[in-house]
Amino acid sequence: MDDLDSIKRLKAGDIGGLHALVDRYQVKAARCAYLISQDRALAEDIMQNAFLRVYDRIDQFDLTRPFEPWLMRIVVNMALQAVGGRPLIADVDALALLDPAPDPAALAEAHEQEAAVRAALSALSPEQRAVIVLRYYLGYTESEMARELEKPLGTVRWRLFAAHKRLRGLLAHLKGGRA
Amino acid sequence: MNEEQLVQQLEQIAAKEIPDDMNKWPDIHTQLVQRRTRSRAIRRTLSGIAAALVIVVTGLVGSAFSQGPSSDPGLDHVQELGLLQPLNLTESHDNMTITLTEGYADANRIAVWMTIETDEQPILLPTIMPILSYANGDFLNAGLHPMPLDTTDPHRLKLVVSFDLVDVLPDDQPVDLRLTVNVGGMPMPVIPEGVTPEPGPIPPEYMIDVPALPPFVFTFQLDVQQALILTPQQTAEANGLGVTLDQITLAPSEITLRLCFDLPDGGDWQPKVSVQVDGVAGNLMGYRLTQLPNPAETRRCADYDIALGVTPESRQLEVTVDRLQTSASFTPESMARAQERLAAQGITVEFEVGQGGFNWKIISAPDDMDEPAIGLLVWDALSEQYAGPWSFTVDLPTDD
Repeated sequence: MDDLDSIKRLKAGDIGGLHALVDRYQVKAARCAYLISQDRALAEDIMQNAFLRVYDRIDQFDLTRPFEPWLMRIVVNMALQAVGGRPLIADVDALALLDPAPDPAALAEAHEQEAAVRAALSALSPEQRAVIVLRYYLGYTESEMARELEKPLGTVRWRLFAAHKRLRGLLAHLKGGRA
Repeated sequence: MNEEQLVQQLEQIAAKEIPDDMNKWPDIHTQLVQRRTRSRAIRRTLSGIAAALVIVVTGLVGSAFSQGPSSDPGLDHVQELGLLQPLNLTESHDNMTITLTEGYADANRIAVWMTIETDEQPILLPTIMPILSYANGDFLNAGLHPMPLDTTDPHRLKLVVSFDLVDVLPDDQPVDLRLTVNVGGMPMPVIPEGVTPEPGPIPPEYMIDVPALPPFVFTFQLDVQQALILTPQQTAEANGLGVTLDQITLAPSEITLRLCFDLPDGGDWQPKVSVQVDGVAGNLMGYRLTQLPNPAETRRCADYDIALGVTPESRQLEVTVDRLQTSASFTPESMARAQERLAAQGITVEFEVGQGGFNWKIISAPDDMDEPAIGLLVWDALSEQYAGPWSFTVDLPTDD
């Protein structure tokens, strides 16, 4: 059963259609929510609520459009809503790695790189994390991001630029070139 | 760090936190059931129908199956005509036995009657998921409509599951089918008699884990009853818009109508359809668009499945589209408008919007209205509406 079949079934009231969509997208949706919320339990809640929203609003889904971006837009918006106004606390130890003073060779180690990226993500605003996730985790183009976020292309470019700039500043000392 | 490394790091971080084998479907399914159960609880408590809500097995059955109609004139009709085909297929796993007693197929739908028996825990019908495919495993595009027939004994349930077919089934040869019944594998709420749950998530002490059983798999063959396809292509005009009754597929258990209609604007408008054959009303089982919608289009076609018996003696089909309407919306404006519409019918409701979704409380309603009927009126009232009516009368062909 492909997405279209699943959605048609769901539109016809068959909950099996939702089951198939959950099986197919729950992991990616939860990971997307985690990267924005930085909270595993919250990410799982966001993912579940996103599928409940799909269930509630499937009648409004336009069958000419692909399902995944529609779902991910719900996930991203719910994640932003969930963490909006709640400042994230960055990992202090990992943030220390962002200090340009430490040895660059040590920072190049994989686990340190990961810790640095985690900390850098935490240091971004939720909106900046969202555009980074859309661009680099979900692999959307700027035009696709503009469409899914329902924002002008210029706004998306500006947000991406700002997020990029901040991320680049936080990760500049890591080996492998510029983010 | 370059972009490629950033992508890798994001994937790695996400994968460490959210494992590949994560499965939250049971939780999502439970939340869907809870929302329905909670809605029932609030409404029953406030309307004073019962002093104490009893959500035992039969309550859950009613809740989980609330999406579908509680009667099916089409299946009643084919049963009266003696068109059911005996199956008598039984399969057992652990202490549960499922028996398919009879089956039925026509161009518009397939239905299977079954009993489920167990001598252990009461059967929780929402945990039972039937899936129909062709016998070779090929996908059969159909909407599922389960309907309990007898739930008085929680250890022995009788039900019929019908599948509305998206594509007309050829009636010149039997069809080979496979019905897979999946049971369990999810937590379920079971609230003891005398307990009235507060609105909100059901407490964990009332949740039980229903273990998954191996799938019950049945293969069988059904003859397909003949259908008659008419193309009346009648158009009616009202309120500046036209609706065309384009095609009718008449099968013994169900009528499928193709309606094409002008759109008031780019919204998701659908006709509110009612159908009668010789004065007997049918149940709308579902609908589907015939082609992918285009936001720029001004006209759209959809197929409507109506459960209603038809015989060679049937004389006249009447189709009425009372109005066009959109999906329900939950803005403050639409809820205020819905309250006005319902008040005009003597119904007072309050709406709640929160983390748990959307809910409503019935404050007062005419005595002759039951909860399911009020629920349908609430959903209708929350939609945008464009008044008709558009009416069609079709004289059915006879053998004379």
